[in-house]
Amino acid sequence: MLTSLLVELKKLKGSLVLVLCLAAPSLVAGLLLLILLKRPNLDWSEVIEGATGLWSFFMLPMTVAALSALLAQIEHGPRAWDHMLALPVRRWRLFAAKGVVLMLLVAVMSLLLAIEIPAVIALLQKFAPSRAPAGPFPWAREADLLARMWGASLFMGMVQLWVALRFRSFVVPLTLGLGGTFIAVAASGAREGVYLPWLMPLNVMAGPTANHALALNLGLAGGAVTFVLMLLHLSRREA
Amino acid sequence: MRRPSDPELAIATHDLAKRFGRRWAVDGVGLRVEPGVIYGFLGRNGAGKTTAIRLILGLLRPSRGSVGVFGHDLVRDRIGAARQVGSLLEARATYDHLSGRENLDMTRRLLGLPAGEIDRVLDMVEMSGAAERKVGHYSLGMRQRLGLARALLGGPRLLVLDEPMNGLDPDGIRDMRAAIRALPELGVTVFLSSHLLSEVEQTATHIGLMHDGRLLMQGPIDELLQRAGPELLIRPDDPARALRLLAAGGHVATAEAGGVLVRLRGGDAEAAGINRQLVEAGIEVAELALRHGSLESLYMQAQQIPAEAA
Repeated sequence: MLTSLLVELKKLKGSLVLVLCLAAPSLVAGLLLLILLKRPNLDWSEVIEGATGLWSFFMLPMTVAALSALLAQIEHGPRAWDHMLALPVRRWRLFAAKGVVLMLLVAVMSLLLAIEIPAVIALLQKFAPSRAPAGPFPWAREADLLARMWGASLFMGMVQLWVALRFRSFVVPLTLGLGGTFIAVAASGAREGVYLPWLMPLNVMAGPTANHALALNLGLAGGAVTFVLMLLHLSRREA
Repeated sequence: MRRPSDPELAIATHDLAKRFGRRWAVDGVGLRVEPGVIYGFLGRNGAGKTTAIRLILGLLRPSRGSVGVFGHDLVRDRIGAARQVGSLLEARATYDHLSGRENLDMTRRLLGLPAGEIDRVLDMVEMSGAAERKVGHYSLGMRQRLGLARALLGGPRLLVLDEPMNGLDPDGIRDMRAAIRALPELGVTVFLSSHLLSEVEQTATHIGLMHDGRLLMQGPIDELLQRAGPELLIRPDDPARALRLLAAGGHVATAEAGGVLVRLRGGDAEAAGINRQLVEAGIEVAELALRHGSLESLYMQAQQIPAEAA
């Protein structure tokens, strides 16, 4: 399994996947900078929840959709699945490696965002101190939120990856991702929204309608079950 | 009931069949590929060659029948069978953003082979000089050779190649042909599909002919060509009239570029009789040449007879 994972990671060298991983959290950090320049005097809680809210509501679901499509297209594009699946390797390992890599990439993006948010604040404190929140940066609150969002995104990530690996066309997972994000926006205020995978990362933030513990648990459990079902389906499916 | 696979054979299929919807893409195929041969798997596009290959590689599950690779039943022991096989199905199935060496390294790691294995196979296909270049910059011929190198990783006993000459220029075809011909000396059995009859004739030692999902005939190419019998190539001044005349006389004649090709059932006497018949009918014959049966004529004949009779 470790070999399959290593091979999967090596395929990312020089690919668009890494560019996307770098760009997505940076866009959120850039938007945060613009917001702080327009709206000074925000407190730490507003800064952290604003940035992670942007991340979990829009950028994370759309990036996961794009990442899963890109990861699957590494093989779909050049029709390399035939070669991979004809090898004397347990097929589930090949697909499991894709799932692990997707969640590793989401973790890397979360880490980058965790670094870029305080970097934006540090930049403001240096060049426009009046617009930056005062006091020490709440690292623990930020890390806790981003870690919860990562866990809650497991369900959405596995659904997206399953679809991306199943269908050769990248249009299918992208449409699902865009549709899921759109429905999440519409359903964000609804009680049933807690069961929507694309809304779970947002729901881990404390809010009036969101049960953050339920969102995290559903994200993790749903993700684990979907992961196993995906492996069973794809490894038995005819290539 | 599943038949035990024959460990003596590189590929042994029994009553192999695959159905897509209501159409049988492969129907009752019984391949017997002996070790150490170059087996040309012939048939026009849509004959079922690629489906049969995908069944042999375990990429499809048979609707009926069995596949054995060196005695390993593909359904019961896919990993054991796959360990015997290297395959090249699609030349473009590479990671273009990586170098040739990095591409090979992916498969090498998955197969658990030592790092030196990459240089060995690169040498075999004469690609060492281009190994560090990104595959996106390779020509199709280089991609084919890289694919062949990848298929050779780990020294498989059986190499399965699907249309390996497709899209290659004459130099590429010559290089690929030379590389394939050298493989049996290394103990590798080659199973290659193609619709290029002349190419297979120059490369293969054995052939199998597929048509409409059925295997029409198989065996050593020399034996099958003998079965095809000699042919008489005629260049008359009026090929259309000559063709009608010969057909009316009960000969099996077909149009050939600028002439007529007659399949002979008799010997020289039949050739002389045909010449006389044409001349007496006022048709001038500029050339009359006797030649051995070709794979093309064998292929054409085989398509006209039912598989059971073959």
